[in-house]
Amino acid sequence: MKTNVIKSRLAIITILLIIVGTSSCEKYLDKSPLADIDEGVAFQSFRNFQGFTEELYNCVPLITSIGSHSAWNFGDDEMWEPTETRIFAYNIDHGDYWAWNTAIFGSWFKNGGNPTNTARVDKGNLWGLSWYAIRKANIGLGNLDKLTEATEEERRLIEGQLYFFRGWFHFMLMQYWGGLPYIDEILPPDQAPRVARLNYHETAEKVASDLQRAAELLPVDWNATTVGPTMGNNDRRPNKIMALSFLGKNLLLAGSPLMNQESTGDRNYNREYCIRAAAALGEALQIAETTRLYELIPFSHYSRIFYTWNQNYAVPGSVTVDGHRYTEAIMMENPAEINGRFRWNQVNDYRPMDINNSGIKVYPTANYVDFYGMENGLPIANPTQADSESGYDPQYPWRNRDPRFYHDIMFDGEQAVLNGGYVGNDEYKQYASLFTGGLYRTANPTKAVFTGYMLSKFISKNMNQWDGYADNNAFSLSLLRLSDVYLLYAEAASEGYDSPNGKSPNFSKTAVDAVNFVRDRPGLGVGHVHAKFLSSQAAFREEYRRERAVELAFEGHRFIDLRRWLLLHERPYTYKMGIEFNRAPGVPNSAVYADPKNARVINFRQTILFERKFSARHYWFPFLVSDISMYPEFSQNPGW
Amino acid sequence: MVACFIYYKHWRMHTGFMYNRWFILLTLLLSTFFFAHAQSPPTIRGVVIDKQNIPISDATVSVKGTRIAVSSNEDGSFLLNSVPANADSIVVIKIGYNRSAIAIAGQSQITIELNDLAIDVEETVVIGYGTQRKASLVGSIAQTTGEVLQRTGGVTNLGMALTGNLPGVTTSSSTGIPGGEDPQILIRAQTSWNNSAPLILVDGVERSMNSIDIASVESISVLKDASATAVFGVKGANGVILITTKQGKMGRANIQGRVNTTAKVPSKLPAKYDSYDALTLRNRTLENALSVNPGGWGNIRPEDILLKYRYPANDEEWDRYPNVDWEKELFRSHAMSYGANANVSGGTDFVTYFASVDYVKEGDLFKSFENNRGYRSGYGYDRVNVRSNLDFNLTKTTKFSTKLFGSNGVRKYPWDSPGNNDGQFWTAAYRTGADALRPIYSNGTWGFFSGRNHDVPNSVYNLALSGIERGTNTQLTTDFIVNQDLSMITPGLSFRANYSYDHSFREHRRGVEDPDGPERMWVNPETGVIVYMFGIDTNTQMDYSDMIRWINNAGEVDKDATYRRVNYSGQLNYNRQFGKHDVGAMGLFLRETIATGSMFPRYREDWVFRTTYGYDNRYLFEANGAYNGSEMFGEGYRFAFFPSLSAGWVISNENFLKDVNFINNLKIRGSWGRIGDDNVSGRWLYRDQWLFGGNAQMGTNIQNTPYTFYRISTLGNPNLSWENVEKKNIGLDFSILQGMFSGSVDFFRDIRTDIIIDGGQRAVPSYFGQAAPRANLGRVRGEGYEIELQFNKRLASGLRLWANANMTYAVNKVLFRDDPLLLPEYQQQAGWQLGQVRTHINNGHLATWDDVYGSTERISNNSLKLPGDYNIIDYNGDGIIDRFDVAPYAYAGNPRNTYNLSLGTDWKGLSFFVQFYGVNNVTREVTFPTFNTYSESNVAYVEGNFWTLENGGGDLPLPRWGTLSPEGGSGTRYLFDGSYLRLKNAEIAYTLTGKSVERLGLNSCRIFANGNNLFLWTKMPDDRESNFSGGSSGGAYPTVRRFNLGIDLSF
Repeated sequence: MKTNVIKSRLAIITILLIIVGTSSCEKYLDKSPLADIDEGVAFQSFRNFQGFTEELYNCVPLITSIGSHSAWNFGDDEMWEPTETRIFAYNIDHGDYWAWNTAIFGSWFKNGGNPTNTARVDKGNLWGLSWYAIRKANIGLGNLDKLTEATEEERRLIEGQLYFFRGWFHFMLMQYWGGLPYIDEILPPDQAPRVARLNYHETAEKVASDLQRAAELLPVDWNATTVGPTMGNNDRRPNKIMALSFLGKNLLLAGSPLMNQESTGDRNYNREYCIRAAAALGEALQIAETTRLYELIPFSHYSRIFYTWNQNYAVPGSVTVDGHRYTEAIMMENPAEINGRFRWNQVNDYRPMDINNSGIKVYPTANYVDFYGMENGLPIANPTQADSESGYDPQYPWRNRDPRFYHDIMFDGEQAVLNGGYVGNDEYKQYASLFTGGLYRTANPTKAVFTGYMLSKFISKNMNQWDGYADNNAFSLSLLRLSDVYLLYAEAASEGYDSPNGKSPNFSKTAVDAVNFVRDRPGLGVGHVHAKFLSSQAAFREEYRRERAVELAFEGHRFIDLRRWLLLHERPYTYKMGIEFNRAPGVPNSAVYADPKNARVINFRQTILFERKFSARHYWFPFLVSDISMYPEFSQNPGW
Repeated sequence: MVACFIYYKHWRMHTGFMYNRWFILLTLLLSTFFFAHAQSPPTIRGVVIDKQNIPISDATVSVKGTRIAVSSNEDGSFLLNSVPANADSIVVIKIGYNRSAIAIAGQSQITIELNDLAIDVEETVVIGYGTQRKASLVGSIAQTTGEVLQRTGGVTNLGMALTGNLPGVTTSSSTGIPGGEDPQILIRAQTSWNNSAPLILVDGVERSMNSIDIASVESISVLKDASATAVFGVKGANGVILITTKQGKMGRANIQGRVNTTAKVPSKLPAKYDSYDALTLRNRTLENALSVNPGGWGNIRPEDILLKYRYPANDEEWDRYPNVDWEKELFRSHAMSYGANANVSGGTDFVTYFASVDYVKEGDLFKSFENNRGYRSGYGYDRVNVRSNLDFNLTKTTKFSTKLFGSNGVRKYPWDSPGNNDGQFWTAAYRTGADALRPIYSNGTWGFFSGRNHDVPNSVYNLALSGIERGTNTQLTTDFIVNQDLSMITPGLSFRANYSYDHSFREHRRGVEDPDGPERMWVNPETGVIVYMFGIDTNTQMDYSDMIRWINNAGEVDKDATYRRVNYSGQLNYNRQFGKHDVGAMGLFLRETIATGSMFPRYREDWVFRTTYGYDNRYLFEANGAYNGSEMFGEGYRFAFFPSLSAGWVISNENFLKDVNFINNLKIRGSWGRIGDDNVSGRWLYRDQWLFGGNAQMGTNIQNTPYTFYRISTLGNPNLSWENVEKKNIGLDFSILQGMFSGSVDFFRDIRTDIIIDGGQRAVPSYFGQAAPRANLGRVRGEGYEIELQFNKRLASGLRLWANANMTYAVNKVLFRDDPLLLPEYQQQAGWQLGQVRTHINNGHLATWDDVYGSTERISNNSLKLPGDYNIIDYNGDGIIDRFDVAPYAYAGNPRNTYNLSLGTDWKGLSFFVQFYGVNNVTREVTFPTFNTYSESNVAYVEGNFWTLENGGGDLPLPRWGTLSPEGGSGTRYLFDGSYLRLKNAEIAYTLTGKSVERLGLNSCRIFANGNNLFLWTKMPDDRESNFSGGSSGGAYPTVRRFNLGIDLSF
């Protein structure tokens, strides 16, 4: 009996021992080695390190098609449906800059934000993706010593890209938020970082230093490097010209009145920064002109800077004419889903409901259209008064205008629908009926063409829901293109040397030469800057600024320009205006349609549709409350 | 369906029938239903009655020292067969009565009289890894039975049935979608901003409760304090719900059947104005705002047009000026649901069995729309559950149990839209204006809202042509348990081993995919122009024609949903009495492997012990603990010991109270312990996670570059550990006047420290560049009390009256959280309750233009201020109304107080009960803004009286149309007092017994009518308790009221 008890006890103990013995606690819960990537691998070889770096390209923001109804012109240039409260532009117009973080439609500052994928809805997040990219650039720079399997050239390529993007993403942010905490180290994850915010000039110096090093490390032409040809198309890769151009832009912005005032209290241009900017921009232009890596696209193919149609969704920005490839875009926004992204839903926003039955509508303001001067290069002094010097006549407001006007803007009488059958041969639908009381101006009042003009810079004039131009288009905005660099140079050289003829010693062109060079785009032929604007820098300033407004119209620069020139809250830049007029009696409609440029109108006048009420705080975006509530050295922008 | 057969077997007990016994065992394992019936003289007949001579049914009558047991019939009679000659007494047990033991003394006819008793000393409570006598319990545990849950009026979701029935448990429902009604469950006070859902175990293994049928639930225990939950260690901090399924009882086969039919009616949805009223309001709104929005003129519609919405002259006008009641268009007056259940239980001394089949069909509130495509869309849920729980006494000391459960749940929903948040199918009922469009125009063409097709959907169209999908969840859970009595080693010792294997998989994408729609139209009310969605095909120059492109899909396994869980454990139990000393000990080792889809399996490992000591049934002591870990955390932080200590004093058993007759039970108990919680998403949180994948795109025609991304997807924190909760509980149980009144009071306080905070919530600036790693940076206190009172009185006439009232007060406070330091105190999380509502606060209205100009500047849209707007308080007094004026207001989203009152009576066969359930001190945001949600929808909610300059009264600012409110303008407008009172359940039932039903071969027959959520009193605009489905403005599949008719049959 007793042995039985012992036996069964032994059995139980054995069972328990077996159960216990199979366990070894810590190991049992360890992460399976199969579930892991060894972190050293990422930096080991050029191929892997470039893969690590390559995600930075994916962080470049997408601006124009982040979802539905993207908004990127927040200056006096466009006006969205005045009762459409969901568009970020509405928030801006009403002074609610917080909406960069909360707007339902159109803010490319805080939408989505996955750095890895190529979904457009995840690319409209300048705020988040920039900081992500900066961290990644810092991690890359901190681990460069682990790159063992690479040539010296390959190492320079990686280092150059990392410096470029670290500087560039800071630069993108500071255009909107001003001085930043400049992050140039790997912030350790186990402590909450407390980096002090720098003022604008201090931040710009850090950006300049990074871009300068990038310019030293990066090649002029990637295709000329050993690995370049294997990397696929290199159009998006930062090269020496790109780095220098952004370096110059960064310095010019630092020297602009707003930024100079922020850092020094002086509301004028900072000439020293402008001179440095002119030197960087001059060097970039000099290399570009020598290598012909970037050239102005002939005006005959002007649209190709912005969009392609029926080209199998080719990325715009360059074009091959007569066997020669012209590339004007230096850096473009993110190409995510370019295969159709503009179709949904942006194209619908530019035409009234009569011919495009969907969308939230946006039209160019009349006051901005007025910047498009005469073909002879003279500005329109007052759009309601005839001017014998320029030849402008309010009875023929669209006669002899700058050719870019006819490209970018649609006005009364132009053909909007190719096939009249689609609109029941209703002439007022087929041809833009933009006169006062016209169908386009009255049907569906909130969505009608309230300004009297329609945009055709980024889409065909025949964009409507039937003719097919809505589809098969690929639109991509240039963040920097060659004509912009010339105009930045013109500004920097003239402001730096306080003369329209100012020039950087390293470049052959003077400021006014640079403006005229843009007007001399092959096939464009707008008259040169008139002598009366060369008498003083103040006079020339008006003209180079007008040139910027026209050449870079609706490309997202105006808001930054008005801010850095301290004009945003000054009249007339606070106005959004429309035109009112009647077609001249006795002129048959058919004559208008045949030659809308020369159609006579009467009662041509302008009305104020909206005035923005801005104050000093509207020069900068507010930082997130959570960010500026952590420690005193990261302070909010004034007024927020 | 499960093929089953019924197997009758009579046999005699002889040791020589061992082979036969194994054969039976095999048969039992293979078959689902089994009946056994023992029969052998000598027999004892008897009847069980109470003091009033009323027969007592369902009393368990057993022969002491044997496994022979039967239940008494409706007339109280019983028949014991095969009573061994050496048996000396019969034991009768019935809940609510004293246990009674009667000597047999050779009698063959015995009448047993039971005394009412307050405390059933034998009553046991299911606790973690075991059961305990209620009398010796020192933890805070609420328990309810399956019978109670079956009264919930046709509710098929077990979670929903818990509402109000367990003190300390708060449920919040948010949707009525068939098969997806799971509420959020909270035990006591929430003390973490992370997942605060309790741990749910079904028969001891972590399992989902949503597929469990209520009919096979024996009991549900809710473990609340440290004493009860410490054994679950790192998983127990949010409380634990233990669900025990029914097991067979020795005795004659008892077959029960139930069928019920339920009518469901949509409960409350936000009330909306019809087109005329809404557009009239819009005109008023536009007029009011003309000074700031002159563009609004263009939108004012004249009265004679508005009248056409209400009185269209012909079809053409009806199409152009729609007036649609979307609720009526979308929903039926009522939907039908059906349920049926059959189960059989019984057993012999060799085997006891419980087997059940349960069928549920949840009908759809949506109408069935004809789409001429050969399928009908909509929602639905069909579920078949099969369960077989068998216990074999393999030897005198060895018991082997199997629990097999299979569930096949088929949800029907629009193609590829299984979620609760796919609003396009019901959004119209909430947000589409009555005037926006007609669902189907007079010419038979579907409607769409041209301007905002996406935001202002035609849900009728969306649903009708949504395609149809069936998603099938097949779940199989198995438990194999061996209980070995080890009294041969030492008396009182036993061993239990358990092996559980669960598997479930999901098939989806079976049904009709319907990607392309037919032509749709809209009539522009301003121009009368008919707008077609597709119009002319530009390729063919022909009218759009709807191609036949809907596809039948055969279904596929959802690989990501395939789920396996293996759980095995070994457990030693020791319970022994030495004189006045009651000693108990338990030790357990458990391992689990869990995987879903293609993930690397998750692992768990637990070491658990419990020791109990009782002296003379007066002083009770208990020490529990678990040593376990979590793969989430790094070395040094992975394993820990979670202890608890508790004690009880049964005062009523003290000598000085022994003679006090009116006190039947009085017990004080208290507990302390530390429990953990690692219930956060993610894995291996202690280390950085690297990923490889993804490419940048370049080229004139974009394509991937050859370099694939390396990236750090998640930053780890090697010092991360679980959340710790220190739980304290003190309680009192009492029972007086022979159990007429009984109840308990519990006070609790939980302090949770080291709460894990997500990187994004930490005080780490955005420029860090990536989600910062999680860290243990939080401390929350939860405290409150629960009171439960019961009344039970049986009158001489046989009428029984009973009442059960309970209330819970649970409140929490964040003591510390990684708040940004410079935030004003009122905007920090610390110092306020979890989920504290914060808002701009309004005080009256801007009554005049003077007020408007004189009021504090708003940081945005200041120029859009209008008379009648709320006067927003400049909370921090800095002269501008901005984000820093958002301040705490009212309560949080979880109620502080919950109340439950059940009242019932039964008399002979008739019974009746009502249950009221209410909560208060809760705030719910419900954002249904008139006009403003989506600017072009003229939807207007019945919000109250609008303030205008003319009437000077009213309590709400006029809505906005085409302008935004200035900063903070809506104030507290959309924050509702979330209090409510419901007539949660009511039932009237009649039980037929005796000859009338015996003729039909029945033991009894119970006919009942009950209902769920019958009345609701609330200020909330809809009947939802929380917004976790569809958000606060999205709306959800409507919650329902249920009216249920059914019959229970017992054979």
